[in-house]
Amino acid sequence: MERVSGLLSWTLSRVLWLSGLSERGAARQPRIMEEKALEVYDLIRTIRDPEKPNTLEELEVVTESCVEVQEINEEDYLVIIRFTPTVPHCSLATLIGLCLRVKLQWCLPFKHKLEIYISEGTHSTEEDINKQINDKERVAAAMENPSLREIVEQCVLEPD
Amino acid sequence: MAAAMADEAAARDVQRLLVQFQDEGGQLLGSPFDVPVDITPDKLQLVCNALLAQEDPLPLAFYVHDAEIVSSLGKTLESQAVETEKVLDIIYQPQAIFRVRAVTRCTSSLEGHSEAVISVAFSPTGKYLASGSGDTTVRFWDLSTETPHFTCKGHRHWVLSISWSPDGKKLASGCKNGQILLWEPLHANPECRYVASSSKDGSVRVWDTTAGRCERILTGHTQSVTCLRWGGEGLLYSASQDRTIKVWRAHDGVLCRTLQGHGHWVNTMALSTDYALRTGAFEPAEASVNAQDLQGSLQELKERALNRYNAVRGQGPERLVSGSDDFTLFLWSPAEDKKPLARMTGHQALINQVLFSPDSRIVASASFDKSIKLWDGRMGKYLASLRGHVAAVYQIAWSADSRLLVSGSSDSTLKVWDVKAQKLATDLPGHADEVYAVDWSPDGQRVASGGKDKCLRIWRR
Repeated sequence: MERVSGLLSWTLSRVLWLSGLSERGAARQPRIMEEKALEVYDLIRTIRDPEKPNTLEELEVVTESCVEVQEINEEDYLVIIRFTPTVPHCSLATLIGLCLRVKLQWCLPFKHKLEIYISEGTHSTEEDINKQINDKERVAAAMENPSLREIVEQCVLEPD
Repeated sequence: MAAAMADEAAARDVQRLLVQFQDEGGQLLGSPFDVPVDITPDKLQLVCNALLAQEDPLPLAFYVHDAEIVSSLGKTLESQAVETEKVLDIIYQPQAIFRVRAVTRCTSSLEGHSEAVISVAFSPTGKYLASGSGDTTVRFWDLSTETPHFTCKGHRHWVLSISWSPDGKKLASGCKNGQILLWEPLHANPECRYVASSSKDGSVRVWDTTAGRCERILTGHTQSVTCLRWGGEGLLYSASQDRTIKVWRAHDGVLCRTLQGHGHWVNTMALSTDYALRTGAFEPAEASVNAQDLQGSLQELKERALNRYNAVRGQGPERLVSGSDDFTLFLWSPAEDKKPLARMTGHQALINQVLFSPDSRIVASASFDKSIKLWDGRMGKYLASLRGHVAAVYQIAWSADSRLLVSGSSDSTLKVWDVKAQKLATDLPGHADEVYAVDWSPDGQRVASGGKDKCLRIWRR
């Protein structure tokens, strides 16, 4: 009886200690994610809008809070971006999604998986657009189109 | 009709400026004369060629205040304040007369290696191709039929590096963790007698190939020596993981200088005269469709190589650029000074390879941050970033006319970049796995690439 209760108290203390560790670990994770999210935001805010001469940050299409980074594995991250088109019937929303994807593909140094969505309720056909901009094959087909590629390069490349 | 046009031109009253042509070394050409502000590069080229009194007109590029004149002199000067009283200096740069065409298609996929292909090299004339692999063999490939030629077995470990002698007659290969071999330049010793090799044990050895023995051992580095270059002035440069670069005198093995500055391992180095040293007496402008071996006596070959070397080197000493794990590059003038000429920062991950363009005007650096950056070869100023790869860029190679650059990356594609426009020219997918090595043949006709998929691919126009 004593043995059992002793064992019980030992396992209880172990569990408490381990949960304390994981809590500290969990406290560490959000900070790394914030740094990575800021890194991602730093890259996307300078992308120019295809129609207007302003950057996406100036038009408030993307904001610091719209970027979310989660760690999947060691050194492998999931990046989720929710952007807001300027008008609810914006015809270039897919182009903006393409620009975001290409910029991060080319410039983000760490390994990442990217998901781009339109902020809920800000576009009339957001479900269709979400499907299109996250479809790998459609993105690759779009980048093979030389005129589209030219437009994307112009929006994405920063003047040095 | 003509009168009306003349009236119109007079009515437009185009501003005129005094200009003076100057070459890259600062030598003045002709005397100042005035030109209309809307003059185009073509007309400038006509005038300059007339002043140079060349038989065949050279293609030239013109720079005013470090900005290239692309459309017209007026447009380039728009952003700058121009004093019409003073004489404007226009610097002219002769471009390569021949033009290399971008490769666009894979003409063959050569299988044979049983492990990843680690290094690929064309002979100095572009006639032969050799590849070294993790399966411990070095293979030679016949380029006219694009089939395997010879397989050289003998190494007992991965072949990490291969190097052709400048006369194209011999190949050196190194294996076993960090051994690299390099040949003595053709213009110094036309018999191509000496080879230098560096190793993980921190020493550099100079071997005599005719006597078959080790001539000298140069010790001094405290960690593995990662890269070795034999300069054209008899100096040997070695870069190491101990963060230093040491400059040695090749004929007696004396340490001249130690170049310090990097904060982490020095991975790679390049000399401004590298291409001329590699190709020796072979002049890419005289290449023909069927690659030929070099003709001529030893003395003639030595002279031709020396002329080519001096032409590329220009007035100043050889320049050395080094790339490191600390994400920066340094530009040195190692024969003169142990302080760097410039520190080139901007990369966000380690730099895997740096290369001077064959005309030594531009330095290209390939990095694990998926980008290739171009820098001015004289001062180290940043020029542009070439983005397009979606994973680390492992190796790059210049075309012989310095207008195109090919890069191989971990994302299994090769990309050909137009350096003048600073944009992608062609995308070359096809490899099944990471591309570890690329090389452009000196006659400009082929690009060879090899990688983790054990296949060697030849690309042509």
